[in-house]
Amino acid sequence: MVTADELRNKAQLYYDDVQAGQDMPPLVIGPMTPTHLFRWSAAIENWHRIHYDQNFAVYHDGLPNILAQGSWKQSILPRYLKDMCLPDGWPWKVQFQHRAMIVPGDTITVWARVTGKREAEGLGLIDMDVGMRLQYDAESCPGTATIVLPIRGGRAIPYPFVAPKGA
Amino acid sequence: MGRWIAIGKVPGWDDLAKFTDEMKATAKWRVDARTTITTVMALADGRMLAECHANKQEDFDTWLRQKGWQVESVTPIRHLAKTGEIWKVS
Repeated sequence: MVTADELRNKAQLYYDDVQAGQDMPPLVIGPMTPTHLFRWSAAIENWHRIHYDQNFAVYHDGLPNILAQGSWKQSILPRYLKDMCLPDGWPWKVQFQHRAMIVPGDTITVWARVTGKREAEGLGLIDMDVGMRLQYDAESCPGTATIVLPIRGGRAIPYPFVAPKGA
Repeated sequence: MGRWIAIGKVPGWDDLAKFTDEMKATAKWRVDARTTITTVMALADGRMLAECHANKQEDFDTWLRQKGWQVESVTPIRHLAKTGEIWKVS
């Protein structure tokens, strides 16, 4: 788990330092507990019983346990990409699918592998495959992402972000 | 997906540390995306009850064989009552 202090003091990752085929440092979360799931349900007011009522999830819906929320999963990959880009990069695009369910006990490895890099309007665009792999090697959220990193000696990435034309 | 109860015997489960060693780690009960051992009970007379959520009974049988426990029966659950809540399981 990354601490707030580590993020505050994080060194910038530059476009120049990333190569196609490179595995980015993973983020490991878990093992998940019912408390993690309940905290998210409370935070976003998602009261579907499959997220906190184990008997209902198991014996009514026929699930292996209570389930991690899709919206929680949707928050993790953007957070991972945001942390990767800090302090001056930009997590531009991410899309992924929901596949294997995540339940208490599961440990998740959030990962990214660089598939290509390109420059547009003086910005460094990094394309990646991304996902959230479970401890038994199932891929829960396969997808792709594009982050924008500064080029050494290049211009600053605008904030709010303005996408390069045609990129 | 189905749900089964295995009844059998496991020696040495008077020892909580041994029971914990056999069942605590996620990999010991979360077999894969479709197979989860949801409950295991060690009874005072040496018998055990194990409940499994799986796609088919063979998945549970495989796990039980790997554990090496003495299994007397594996049976689907039909109805279940838990502190006043009634569930039709299969």
